[in-house]
Amino acid sequence: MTAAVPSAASAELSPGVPQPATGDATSPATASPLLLVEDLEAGYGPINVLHRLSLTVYPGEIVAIIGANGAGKTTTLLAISGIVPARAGRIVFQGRDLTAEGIPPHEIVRLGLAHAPEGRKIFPRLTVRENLDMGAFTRNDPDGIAADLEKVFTLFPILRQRQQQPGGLLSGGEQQMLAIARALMARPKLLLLDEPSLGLAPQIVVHIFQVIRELNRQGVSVLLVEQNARMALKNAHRGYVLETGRITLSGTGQQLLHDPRVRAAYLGE
Amino acid sequence: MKRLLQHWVVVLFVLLAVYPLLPVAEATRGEQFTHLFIYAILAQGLNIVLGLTGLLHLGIAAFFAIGAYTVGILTVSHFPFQQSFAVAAVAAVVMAALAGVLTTAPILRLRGDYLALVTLGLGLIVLYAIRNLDPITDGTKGLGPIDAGPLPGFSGRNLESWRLKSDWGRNWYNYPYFYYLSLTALGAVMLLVRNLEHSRLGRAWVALREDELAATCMGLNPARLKLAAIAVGGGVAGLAGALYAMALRHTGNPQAYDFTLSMLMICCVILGGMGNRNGVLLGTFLLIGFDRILTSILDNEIQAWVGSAAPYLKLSGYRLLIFGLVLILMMRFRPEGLLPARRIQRELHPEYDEAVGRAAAQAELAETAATAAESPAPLPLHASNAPASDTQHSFR
Amino acid sequence: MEGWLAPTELAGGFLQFLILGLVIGSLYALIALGYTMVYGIIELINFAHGDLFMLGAFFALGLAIWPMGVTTAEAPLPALVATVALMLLLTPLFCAIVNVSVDRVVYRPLRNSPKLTVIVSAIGVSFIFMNIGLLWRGATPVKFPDLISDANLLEGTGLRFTWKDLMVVAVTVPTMIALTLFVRYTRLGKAMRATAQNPVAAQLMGINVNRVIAVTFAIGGALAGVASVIYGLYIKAVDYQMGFQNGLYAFTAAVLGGVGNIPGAVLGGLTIGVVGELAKAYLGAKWSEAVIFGILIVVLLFRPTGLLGARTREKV
Repeated sequence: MTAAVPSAASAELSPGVPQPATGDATSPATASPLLLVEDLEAGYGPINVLHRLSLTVYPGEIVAIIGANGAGKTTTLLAISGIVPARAGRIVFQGRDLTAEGIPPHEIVRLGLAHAPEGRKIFPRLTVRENLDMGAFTRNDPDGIAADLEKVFTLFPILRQRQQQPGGLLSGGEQQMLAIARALMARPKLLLLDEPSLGLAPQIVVHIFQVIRELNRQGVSVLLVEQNARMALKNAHRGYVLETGRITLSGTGQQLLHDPRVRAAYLGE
Repeated sequence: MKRLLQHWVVVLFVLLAVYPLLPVAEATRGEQFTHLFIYAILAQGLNIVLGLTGLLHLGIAAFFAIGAYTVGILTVSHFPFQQSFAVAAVAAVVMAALAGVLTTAPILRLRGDYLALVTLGLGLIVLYAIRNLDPITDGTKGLGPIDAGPLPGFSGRNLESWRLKSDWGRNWYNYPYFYYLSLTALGAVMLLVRNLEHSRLGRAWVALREDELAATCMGLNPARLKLAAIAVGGGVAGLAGALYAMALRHTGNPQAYDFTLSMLMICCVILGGMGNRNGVLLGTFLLIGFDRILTSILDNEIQAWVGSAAPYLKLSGYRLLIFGLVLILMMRFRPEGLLPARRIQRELHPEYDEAVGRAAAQAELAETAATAAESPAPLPLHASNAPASDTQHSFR
Repeated sequence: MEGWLAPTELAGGFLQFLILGLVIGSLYALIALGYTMVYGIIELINFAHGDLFMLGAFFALGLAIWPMGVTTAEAPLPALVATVALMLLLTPLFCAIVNVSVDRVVYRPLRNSPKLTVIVSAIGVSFIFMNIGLLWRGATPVKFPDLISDANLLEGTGLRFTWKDLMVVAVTVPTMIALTLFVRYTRLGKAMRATAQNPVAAQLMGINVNRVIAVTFAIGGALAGVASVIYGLYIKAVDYQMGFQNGLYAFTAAVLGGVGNIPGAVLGGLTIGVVGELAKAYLGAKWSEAVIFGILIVVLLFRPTGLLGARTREKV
């Protein structure tokens, strides 16, 4: 389960730094959070993966969660999307308490929260175009959908060329683009990205992060989890460090990037 | 708890062994019990394949049929063989085991559901062959009469001096002699399964059931293990078939070997608890006992009480309904069976680990870890050999 | 022993058997679609599907007799048309409702259970359906009203293609085309395929997976309902065990074509129909069943996921 973190470093990190103080320094104090996660507990079977996990995303932010394999990054996103039920704590999105109201996953998407899952999870036997149509499943405005389709094709020109191909035949990078594009078709206010750089060549990773920043400029807030900590923190406004289901550090992207503990554990320095 | 259960089975066997000596015993009831023992043997055969190894085999009746017809062919008077039952029964076990290996070897690479369907198809093909190959099987009439002696050179007739009660038969294939033979065979099969469970082979089977990929990575050969399971399971089913033909002294109506029998056996195994031999025994006694014995008793009671024999008043008219309800309710509320194998109990009720079962579970865990790789995935009963599908579990 | 390798009396009857096989095969295909769609979406071998088909036939039988008392093809044409139309309308509805209810009550609570648990439940449902059929119409075959003429439409060509055959084709082919178009082009159809390919990702798209599954059961049930009406009118006798035999053929068809694959089910159904008829003609009726399963096994040996099944599954 646990990390590829050098043990000395993790010992140094784990005593739990009191977090929100530094974290909220740069966040727009006036705005209320777009997403608020408080004391979240979730897991599988007898195992709790997340322990009293709290985080916030403010409108207009890119927030990165970094952590090692098995730290609970994916579970965090799945819990926010409602796929993995929360056992305790609360998840509030745009003022609506998803946990208390028991909103099912397919309704959460309608509220403006889209999720591009780990390993892409595109529909392999649907065409690229059909995959994108599925992304817009919750919407009923053909004109808006057509406009958004045009938008994602502008962001990812390769998808326009591949429109009629089955998703399963795309390369890894193209699949990641499709997964992001598909999530965008829901016209989300908050986009959850799970390991967008996983298994991709470096220049494609650069391209994906360019697109993420571009999307953010267009007003989409992003919560992304990454093992590629450097790339994630460089591009994020704020970040959280997740270790064995607990947030152990938080701060702005730059603060974390320069934090000696992060540097030692996640940046290989 | 475990000791108590062991105890329970031993007590049951002792009770069954003294039953013919009790004043309440009747020959007809005893013969019904004999059939119960035979089906219990068949269920143990399926338990090896389905419960221990996790192969969803939907054609166990085929091996039962092969056993029965081997005995029929080797013993009836219009064929030249005329062997004793002992020889025929050994041949039946060998034939059924061989049939298992030969029919399973080519299809091992099929994924779980396809494998299940093909085993169903094989079961049906055996049934059609029995029905259609009149010169060998006498078609729908069945082979008979079977009048073999128990051992070569010994007719087993005229056991007059052994009779303690007037309703005991005088031939070896009569009650209670055949009753004891079947009970002994059942006991022997139970011991065999017990020993198998604790053998290297048995643990390898369990490892295979839990996670084929991991088991393969540990150096186990899945193809050979599956073939071994089907050979042993098929052989046990063949033994049941041999006893069945001898008990009826006829192979009977081919209908008796159809898909319904295979399904019924699956029900017995599941009701009792897959992979737990005592559970499977209990499941068979409950289900077949209900179907073959209790139903007719209750029907007579109802008829005597209501004074009408209308079909809708007969419990036997609702047997499928009752089986169906039992299966559905079991799957919903106690999918691990009445007496679950501890391992399966843990898999289906993960919270069990946190409560009472932790110690026991861990003991078993340590035991199995010696031979098998542990998989954390909580989807072990997947009949499929393919990687778990994209449910939440594999999503992690 | 008659029949074993006995050459058929109809010299050059091959074409005739082909026609007959395709007609029967399209009926199997209709049932097979119900299996394949349900399997495609929740990986369940729905053992109860054949028995649902049987219940549908019993229901249709009631419709024929009850509202108009139409029992022969000699009845006035409007009454005939009305009866058949009523059957084709209400029976699928009945089967769809039953199928959806079963999914809701039995299968849905088991959505996260191991596969075997669900399969065993399906066997349980099958038992219950069979028992209901038994109580409903008894153990012996019941005559189904003979409402469609047996007049030969190909009189003079040496071939036989009756109004009954035409009815089978006229109902099954448009139904299958409509289903294909539905699954391929509609929003719900695409959602079905998406759910089949990845239920979690489908949820993340905002698809209500339970609703999609219910729709799948409804469509599969309705197809079985249509098939049961056609079967009754064509074969003219129904009994409580017909579900097992025909369900088995249909499921074999689904697997033969590649279970979960819609064109595959159609191809498999037609193959089984033709193979069965040819085996009947050239080997004798009693071997046709064995030949069908023999073909299934041979096909699976060479193509373990069926004729049109995905070669590899895009999972992991």
